[in-house]
Amino acid sequence: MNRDKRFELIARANSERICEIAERILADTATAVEVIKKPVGGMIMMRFRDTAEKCVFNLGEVMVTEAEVRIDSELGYAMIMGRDPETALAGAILDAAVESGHTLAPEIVDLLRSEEVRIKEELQKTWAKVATTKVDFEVMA
Amino acid sequence: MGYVLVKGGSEAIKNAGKLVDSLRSAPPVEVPQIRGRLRLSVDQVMGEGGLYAPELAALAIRQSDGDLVAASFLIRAYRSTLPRIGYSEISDTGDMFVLRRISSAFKEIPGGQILGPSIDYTEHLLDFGGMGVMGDTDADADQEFGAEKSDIPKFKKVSDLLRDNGLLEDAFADDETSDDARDEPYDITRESIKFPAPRSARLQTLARGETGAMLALAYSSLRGYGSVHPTIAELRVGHVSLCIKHPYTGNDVSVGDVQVTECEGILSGVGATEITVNNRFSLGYGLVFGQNEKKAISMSILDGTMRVSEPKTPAEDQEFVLYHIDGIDAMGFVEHLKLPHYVTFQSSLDRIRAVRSEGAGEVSDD
Repeated sequence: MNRDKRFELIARANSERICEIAERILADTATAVEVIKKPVGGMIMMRFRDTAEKCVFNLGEVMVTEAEVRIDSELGYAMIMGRDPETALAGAILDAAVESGHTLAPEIVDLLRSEEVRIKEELQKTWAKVATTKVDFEVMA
Repeated sequence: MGYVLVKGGSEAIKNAGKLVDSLRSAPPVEVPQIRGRLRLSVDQVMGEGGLYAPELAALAIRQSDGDLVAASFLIRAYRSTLPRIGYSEISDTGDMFVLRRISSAFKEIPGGQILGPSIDYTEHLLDFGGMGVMGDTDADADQEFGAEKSDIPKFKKVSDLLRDNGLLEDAFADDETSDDARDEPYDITRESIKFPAPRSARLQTLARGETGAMLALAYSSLRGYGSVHPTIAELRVGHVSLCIKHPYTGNDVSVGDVQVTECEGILSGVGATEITVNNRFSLGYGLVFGQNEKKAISMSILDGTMRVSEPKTPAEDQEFVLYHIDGIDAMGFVEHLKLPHYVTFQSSLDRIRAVRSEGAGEVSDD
């Protein structure tokens, strides 16, 4: 799992599961977690290309929380949608933990893979429901 | 005469707040309840507040006792305290996870008409069966739908079909205020709008406009105070990824999904209007946060009306439309009338008294 994929899954994963494993890393006295950027709320201005004239414009801002930490010499970064300092910090810790080869790294990767499956299944479930609203036109004779 | 500082009323103000609390008679509503049960209100507040943050919008609705413009104000004020981390990569609604997409222009569209979550097609009558406690949704009721798992498709835009058939004006064809001269789209949160406003500024202003104000202006065009009465090529609701550049890898990565409603209106149709010199249609465009179909449609209409070079009606006048659709500006200005104007009104009073006493050939009455 590369860094980009890891970032995306941390951002979408269940926050309780992310925080639980981050707490175990923090409780581990052998690991020093240095906070580089405290989790702060901020905004990303979301840009779209309009499909009528192909003009790029700013639709509006999205609330996010980002954090950055260092474990050993490896940086970890996470951004979460919404106002959620705890999960953003936990996410950054997980990112750094995997990068620095922490003993919990395999468990983190397993967790993210299982979240990936869950997220995909949820989307498929939603789509399956939406698909039932497709219209079958009958032409009147 | 300058402004005079006055003090007083702090006790009354405190008690006025307490009195509001005392009117909140039912048990407190939890924020997740508002988010889950009043989702269209939440969507409206996010759009008009200009900040996509469902939890905070729900909180704002509760704090403002359900006044959506006041809730949008709280969101707009909160956003002004947040740092701007940056701009996203450019999102494309062609990549949308579609929950709903319909076309009024064509019966058969590739991928089909998908009604999605909508009560448009059911009777609009008050349901007394729902009085008291609303039923819980059954999370495991999927089989009710007869739903079967299948791969999630992407849908080709109806406008692309029109374009492929040479029926649409090329982008930027004859819009002298288009953005092709600008590298960066306009950002009305950083730079005040100037007229004539470039297209990116118009779209951004419309996207954070107040639903009711936009509905009224769009309706005025439909009723004849303007020339746009579009046919909806496609209306879609769904989720689009928020993408940024990863700070370490420099690659595009997705942070999460944002729900939007998009409307592409063909600026021609019933009773209609404008077929361009090249015998082609042009499109009006609407895109808004959340599920807010009347706003997205209104936006596409106003995008169309404002292209007229010599405005003859309010809906055609950029300045009129863009200056009056902001709910927070409008509310602020109208509601400020409740604040003390004792000194300014005193001067009006003095003037009218002076005029009247001159007329009566008297001096002053005091």
